[in-house]
Amino acid sequence: MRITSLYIENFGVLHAYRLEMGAGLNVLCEKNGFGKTTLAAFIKAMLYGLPANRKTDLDENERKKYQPWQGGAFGGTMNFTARGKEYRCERFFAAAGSRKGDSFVLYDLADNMVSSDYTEQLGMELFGIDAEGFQRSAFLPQRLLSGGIDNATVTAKLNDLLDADEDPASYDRAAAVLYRQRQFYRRQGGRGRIAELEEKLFRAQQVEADCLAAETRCETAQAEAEDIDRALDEVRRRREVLRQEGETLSGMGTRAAVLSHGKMLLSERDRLISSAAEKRVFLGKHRTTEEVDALLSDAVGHETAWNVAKENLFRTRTQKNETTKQLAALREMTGLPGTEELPDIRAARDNLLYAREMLGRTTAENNIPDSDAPESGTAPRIPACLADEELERHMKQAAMYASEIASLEKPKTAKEARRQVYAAAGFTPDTILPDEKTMDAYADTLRALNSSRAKHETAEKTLSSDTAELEALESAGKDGNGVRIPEETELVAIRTRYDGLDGGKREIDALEEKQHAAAAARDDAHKRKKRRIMAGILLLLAGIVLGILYFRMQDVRLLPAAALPILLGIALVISGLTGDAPDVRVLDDDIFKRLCEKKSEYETDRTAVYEFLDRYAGESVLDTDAADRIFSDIAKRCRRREELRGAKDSGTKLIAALDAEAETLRLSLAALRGETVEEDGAETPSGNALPSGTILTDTETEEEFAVYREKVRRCADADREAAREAGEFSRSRARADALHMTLDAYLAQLAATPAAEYYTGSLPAAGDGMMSGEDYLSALTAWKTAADTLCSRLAAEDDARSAEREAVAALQTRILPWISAEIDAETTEVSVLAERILADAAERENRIQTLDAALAELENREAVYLAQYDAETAELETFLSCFYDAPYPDAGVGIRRVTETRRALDDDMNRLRGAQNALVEFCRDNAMTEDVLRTSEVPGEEVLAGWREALAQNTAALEHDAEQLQSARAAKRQTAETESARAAALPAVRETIADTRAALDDAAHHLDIVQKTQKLLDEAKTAMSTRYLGVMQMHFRRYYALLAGVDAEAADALSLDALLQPQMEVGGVRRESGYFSRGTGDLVNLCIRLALIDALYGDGKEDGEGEELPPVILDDPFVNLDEKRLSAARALLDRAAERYQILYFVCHESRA
Amino acid sequence: MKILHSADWHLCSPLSCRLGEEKAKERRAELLSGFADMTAYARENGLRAILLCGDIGDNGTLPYAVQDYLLDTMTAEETIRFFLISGNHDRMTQGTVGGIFTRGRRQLPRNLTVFGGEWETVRIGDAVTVSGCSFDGKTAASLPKLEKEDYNIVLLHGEIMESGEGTLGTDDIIPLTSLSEKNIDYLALGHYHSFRHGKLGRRGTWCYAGCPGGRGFDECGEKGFVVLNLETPKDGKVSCSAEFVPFARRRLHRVEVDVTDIPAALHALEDAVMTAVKGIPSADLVRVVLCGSDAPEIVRDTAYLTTRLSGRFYYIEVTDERKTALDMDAFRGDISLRGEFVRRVLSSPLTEKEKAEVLRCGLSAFDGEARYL
Repeated sequence: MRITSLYIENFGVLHAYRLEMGAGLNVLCEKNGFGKTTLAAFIKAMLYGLPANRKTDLDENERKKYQPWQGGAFGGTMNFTARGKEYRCERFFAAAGSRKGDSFVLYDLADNMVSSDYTEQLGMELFGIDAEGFQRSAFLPQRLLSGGIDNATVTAKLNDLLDADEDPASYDRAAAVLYRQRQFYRRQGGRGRIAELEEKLFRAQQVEADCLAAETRCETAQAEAEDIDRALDEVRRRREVLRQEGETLSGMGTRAAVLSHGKMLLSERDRLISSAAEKRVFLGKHRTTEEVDALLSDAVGHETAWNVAKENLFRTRTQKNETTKQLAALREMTGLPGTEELPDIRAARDNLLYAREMLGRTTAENNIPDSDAPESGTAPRIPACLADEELERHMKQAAMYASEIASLEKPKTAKEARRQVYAAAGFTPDTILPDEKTMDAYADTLRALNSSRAKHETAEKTLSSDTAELEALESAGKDGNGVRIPEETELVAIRTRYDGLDGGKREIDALEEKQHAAAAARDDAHKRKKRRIMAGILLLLAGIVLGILYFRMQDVRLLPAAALPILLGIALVISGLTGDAPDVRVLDDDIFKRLCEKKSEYETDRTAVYEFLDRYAGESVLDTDAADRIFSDIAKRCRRREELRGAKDSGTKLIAALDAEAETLRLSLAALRGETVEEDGAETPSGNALPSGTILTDTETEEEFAVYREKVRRCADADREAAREAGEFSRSRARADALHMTLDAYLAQLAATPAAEYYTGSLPAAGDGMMSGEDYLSALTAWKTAADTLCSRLAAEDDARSAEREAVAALQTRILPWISAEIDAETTEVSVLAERILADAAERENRIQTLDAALAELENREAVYLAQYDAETAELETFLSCFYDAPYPDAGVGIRRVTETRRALDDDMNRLRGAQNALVEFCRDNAMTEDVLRTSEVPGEEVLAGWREALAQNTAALEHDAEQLQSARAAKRQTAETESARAAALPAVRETIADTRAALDDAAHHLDIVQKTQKLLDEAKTAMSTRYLGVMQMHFRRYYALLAGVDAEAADALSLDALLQPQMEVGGVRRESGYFSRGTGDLVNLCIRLALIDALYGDGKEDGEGEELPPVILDDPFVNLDEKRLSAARALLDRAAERYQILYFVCHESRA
Repeated sequence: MKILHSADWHLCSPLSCRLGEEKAKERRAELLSGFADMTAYARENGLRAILLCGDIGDNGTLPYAVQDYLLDTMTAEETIRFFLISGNHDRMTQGTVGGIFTRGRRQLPRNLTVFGGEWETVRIGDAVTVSGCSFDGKTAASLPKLEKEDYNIVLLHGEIMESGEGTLGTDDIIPLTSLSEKNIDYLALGHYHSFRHGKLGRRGTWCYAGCPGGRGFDECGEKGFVVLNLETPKDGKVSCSAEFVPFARRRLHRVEVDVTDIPAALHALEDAVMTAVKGIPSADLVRVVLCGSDAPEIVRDTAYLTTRLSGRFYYIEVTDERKTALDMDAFRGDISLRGEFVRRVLSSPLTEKEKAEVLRCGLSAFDGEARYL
């Protein structure tokens, strides 16, 4: 690429600057301050544009730095050739801080048309490096000659990697991947996989330590348990010792026991000897035991016989006594005839029977004359002469019948009572009473009707009250002045107008303000006009004065001086006279119009509102508070009015509903009362109705209906009573009929008695109809009288029978004690009784005889037994006298005592033998004699007890220790178990540790691999980066040799590092550029730059092939070179100019 | 008479395969319950004795719960006699019995005989003896000569050596030559975890029963115990036939898959692995080892394979032991960063394995893939 010309419109100090440039070396020698650096910056700006930032440092803000000093368009044009074509680029820049407004246009100078061959990234597209890279390579400023390659595009270009196939970001990508992996494994702040695994391992190791500690504690506990076991063994040993002591003690006790036992045997034997001796004394010292036995045997036999005799005697005497008692009792028995009486009584009985038989014959059998027989043809049987008691019984029976009949025949009163109850209730006797169900229905309906009436009344009252209030409200107004309260809508409208008054007022005020402002503006305009006019007039006057002076002095110079004011003055006056800015006038009219409208509206509303308020209040309402109160009051009244209207409507509806309900209920009551109900034109008969003719209407209260109901109930009760009575009457009638029949039958029996004419005619005919009890009693009394009379007659008539009768009576009297209870029984009963009595008497006699015989026998036996008893008693006494000095009171006891003594003696002897044997054996077993035994001493029980107690205490203490130790051991074992269980987790923990370690090793290994990979990647990158180094070295040394005028060997002392920083080897020591002198440093940097340019663009690239060669701009870079080096540099430039277009800026001819 | 020979239970030892917490717990429980299963087998098959030849525990006394479990199991099998010696992992100490039971804690069952530090011989039949000695610095030579008429079984734990004078308890060496003239018919050994046997002298046999169940992938293959069937023929001499009885509930398998010719596609490798593990029971534990060589950029996703196979077996893991196959010529002229990187790696002082890993890591990174994530 070659720049052909530049035109700077405005760029820094340069303005409208044009420069033509040719190929090769272009020298521009201008003094300081010309803008050479600015020119170089312009070229760069043309190629790369200007960066936009807000930095304040000019060196960092080129846009600001190179702002046109004189203003104007910031930019310019540059003509150049590239790839065989000519172009012109125009670039202008916006103000500092923003690219917005920058412009770039590329023209193809072949046709002067806009070209799109390059964009505003012109430099990058031409040279393949960015602006910074350009600056660091092709632009050699005066000061910044450092050749570092910390620019990516330069580096990339150096590495020749800017092609389509390779992306310099591949390293970045790989590095990012490796970085991510490193971060995964290890991150700052103790994070990452490795840190996690280390933490996990640490925790697992802690758990392992815990498990190991548990293991240790388990072993410790186990060891302690073993120690305790040893202690327990010691305890057991001591316990054994104590046990032996106990045995010893026991042995001692045993010894004592043995001795005691021996002594006991000894004493027992001695005692037995003594006892036997005593017994022997008792039994008789000189009697042998055989003699004693023989005596005993004999005595026992006698005793037995004696007992038998005694027993027999006793039994016999007992029987004898008993028999005697029985005899006495039999003989003392009363009520039965005695033995002597018995035959007579039998005879009397027989006679009595005969007599009765005889007496019992009928009148016919007794030859009673026919004239006394009744006319009926059937001669009444002569009744037996009934005793008064029997007759009385009959009379009582008949009276009972009669009384019962009378009670049954009592008059019926219930019916009458019913009639009266019905009359009291207002019913006729045939009134049909309603059932309970109907009554209940009526009561419920009546209750409902009364309730409905009550509600109706309440509703009416409420309605009336609401209506009155409503009427009052609608015409009340405030304080009752009769002003109608407006309707809601009207009120809302008034209120709205009232509320709008403030707004309207504000609008009016605003308009007035505007109007004032407009007026003020108008006034200002007027004032301005006036000022203009005045100014114009003044100028005119001044002009006139000058004109006058001109005319007077004829000074030409005064003419324009005069003309000018005049002209100006005229102009001003005219302008002042021509009027206001139109907008002020228009505005003023508009405001006025609106103001008028608003005012009119406001006044209308205000008037309407306040008229309303005044009307309502009855006086002028002057303030808004009063107005608000009035509105509030009206609103309240409106609300209340609405409420009342609503209440009135609902009350009316309620009343109507209640009326309908009452009507329905009344109809129901009418139906219940049995009144026909007209429904839909048809008469509906009522059912289950109240009794006809009821006095009920539907206006009763519930209490009144209750009274009515009570009446009905009473009628019902009366009905029931009457029905009951009727039933009872029926039953009584049946019973009376039965009794009549019974009485008739009874009387029929009685009618078998002699006819009434036999009885003085006082006995009315029986069996006719019902007789009253009194009649019956009278009849019975008459009958009794008649019977007595008959008996008297019979008695009088039969004298012959009187003796029999007397005899019978006497007999009867005789046997009366035995038949007196049965005196009213039939004859046969009397006979049986007498027979029984007689039989009892006979038996008694037999019994007495038997007992007498038995008694005699018993007496004989008694005598025998007594003799035996006495004999045996003598024998026994004889026996007892052998052993007792005095008569022994009880022979049996005495004998037994002897026997027992004899037996005891045997026992003693036996036991003595046993005791003797035991004693002998004891002595033999214990190797002692009787004497030794007798004389040996036995340790006191207290002593032994004391020893035993001590032993027991020691044993108890030992047991306590053992218990403690066992508890301790159990605790230790438990601890060991627990710790063992804790330690049981060790394998799992160790597995975890092993796993974690393995994972940690893996992770560390992976991290190591990743780090190594990263290191090797960096090395590869560095190696690639420094690939170009050789070329650079070569160029650099060449340039240095040329410029420094040294040979190649000396030039080899200089070298470049990978960052193109120079180093010089002096005296075997490498020195960095900081050690160089200014001149050497500049020279070296220059060489680096030139080498860099060659490295970037020199190898194999010709202008027009691939990327373009950039212009090399040198801004007086040789300031610090001496003449020799300067000359060399100039020569170098000449050579370079053969290849590059070089722009060489100097400020002194000496370096041009 | 039948006798069971077992050893090396290593109860309560950590598992060396990374099963995860729950599975490891389950596996340990399985291995522990195997003891009861073994005694049940012995009871059901009418065995008279069980020889436990050391390393029943792994690190001294067993946890009390495990001790109780073993003792209760032995107590329940009254008809079976148990013979126990300690091994190098459960050495006899003062506070222990047989190296695994806490002394004095519980009364040992009557049917358990623990051989202590001195040689002891027990007669269990008319012509069958069992002798044993736990580690205590005794030499094998101190075993008294046994009766030649009897069928003599000896229990020891250690490493057999054809010659030498090794000492039990120190270097755990069992020199066979010292035992060859002791009239030993069956030397029941413990220490090696795989079934092995050989001749001992003129009349005897030595045998390692192996461990009853593998605890890591270094213990692959069949595991179980040995059953001796002793019969008394008419001439009165006891003869014995020994049979290895596989008894482990699960086997461990190490399966190598050569990936050299397998395409890079996941499914290709998956198919190859599926073929390799075909026939392995689902209750077993499997480690698939990818071997062979691959180009560095080829990624074999072991996590994917593990996931795909995890449901097929009780436990599966896939490890990568591939070598890297690199075409040096291709990279020789590659002037890109990639080529420079490869050349740098190959010329670096890293080990071959590291070089392969670095190459894979770096080349994957160039492609934007993170190898280790």
